[in-house]
Amino acid sequence: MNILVQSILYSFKKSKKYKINTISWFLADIALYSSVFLLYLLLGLSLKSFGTYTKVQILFYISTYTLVNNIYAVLFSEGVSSYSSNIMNGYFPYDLLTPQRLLFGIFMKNINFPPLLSTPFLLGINIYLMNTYSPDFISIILYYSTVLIGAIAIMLIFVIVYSFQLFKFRTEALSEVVLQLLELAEKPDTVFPKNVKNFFTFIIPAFLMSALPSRIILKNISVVELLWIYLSPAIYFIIFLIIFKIGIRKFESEAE
Amino acid sequence: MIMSIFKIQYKIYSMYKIHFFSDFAGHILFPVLINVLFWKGMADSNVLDYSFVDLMVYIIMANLVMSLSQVAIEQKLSNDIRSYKLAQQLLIPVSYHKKVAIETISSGLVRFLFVYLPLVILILILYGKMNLLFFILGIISILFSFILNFLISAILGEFSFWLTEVWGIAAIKNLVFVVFSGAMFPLDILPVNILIAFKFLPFSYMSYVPTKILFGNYPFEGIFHSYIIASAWCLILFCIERNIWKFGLRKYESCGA
Repeated sequence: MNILVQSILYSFKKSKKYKINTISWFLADIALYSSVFLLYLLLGLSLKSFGTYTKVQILFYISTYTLVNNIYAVLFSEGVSSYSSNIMNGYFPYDLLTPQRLLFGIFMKNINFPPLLSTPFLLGINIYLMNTYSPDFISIILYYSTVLIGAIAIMLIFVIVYSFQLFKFRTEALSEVVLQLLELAEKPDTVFPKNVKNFFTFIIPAFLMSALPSRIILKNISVVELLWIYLSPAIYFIIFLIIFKIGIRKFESEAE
Repeated sequence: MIMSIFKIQYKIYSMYKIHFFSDFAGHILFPVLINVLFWKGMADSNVLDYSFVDLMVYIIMANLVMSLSQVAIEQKLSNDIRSYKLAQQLLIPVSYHKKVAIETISSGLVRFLFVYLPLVILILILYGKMNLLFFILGIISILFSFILNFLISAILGEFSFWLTEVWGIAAIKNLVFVVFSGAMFPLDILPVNILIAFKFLPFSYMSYVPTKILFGNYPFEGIFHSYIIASAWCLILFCIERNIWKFGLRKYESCGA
């Protein structure tokens, strides 16, 4: 717990030092999230519904997506990027030598404070939209835990992709494609054919960032989907461990 | 110099085949596929002014135009400014911006000639909309789109005189452009007053307007107006860019052996 507090404090101090950087991140974040909301508000003027979602439901859906995105940006984005670049530039042995679990150590060192500034704004919108459905306490707890799990699952997908660098593969092309595919999360899942929807729920977990948590509050989630939300991080983590354990045997690096 | 840079860009593009794959898959194949599936579902549950085929052809072409005119020089500018490289570049007797512009244009031209142009022509022929006049007018509109993208990208890159990182802002820029440029959906499905508002913003000139012109679905006076508004935005952005560069250079310091 101490290390988490220390890393948040460090990130906070860093953001205070580079104030203009922090402000620009905040403004850019707000511009991004506002533009996604604005897009669906504008489309709502011309369209009756978005798959099975009404105009109000889709805004809640988007607010879930933006919240997961934001949590990922705060907790994992810098860490994932550091994991990838350290394997490529020879700093990875230092990560391996630290007396902490590898991923935990990397993420703790790389908490990103600036996106945290837009979290209250996103959380406010999310709570406001959620209140229209008067959810019970259990649903709220389930919902926010799945929001966190969504961010963890996306992090695991990226570390799986970047772990292939241990085998001396260049992963830029693959990560670019995965990034594009994850952007699908912003779109309503029920618009897509069932096979596509299942692929982006159970293989590439894009809808774990939006559809599945939202449906807990909208009360139309199946037991299989609910189970998958809680099982998916464990499954992706096992896949990561397998790839990592094989990859680390092949990994070579020289560092002073 | 122009031909030499063009040759280098061609060699870079043809050497790293994986870049060709990621460029095509990341910017064309997957966005188009996702949008096609998305709008197919939307067309099933909504009444749209477009037939499904028209909508699909529009989305494919709009994404091609968007990818063609997309410029991402902010990272290069940022790296140069934050490292010793800008100082080196400023000392050589070639304008830094001219060099960056030629590099960007030639790499864009390589992609244009070998990937996008054949696809654009193929779509126009298959869709029965190949018209030489509108094709030329469309290419001029794409040129404006390219200039707008270049200037915005340069402005963001030049923020590195004050910021330590610009990649986050650049990523957000790309997303905002995709949303409001008309690459995701034809802007004319929106209510008329919103469409009019969009005509005064630079985004629609990056994809929606060039696509409509290529298909010959844009009136001549509209094309003329679009050129005027796009030129005005180019001028405004150019002035902003020049001022940021001027103020940035005043602050810039570099040392090296």
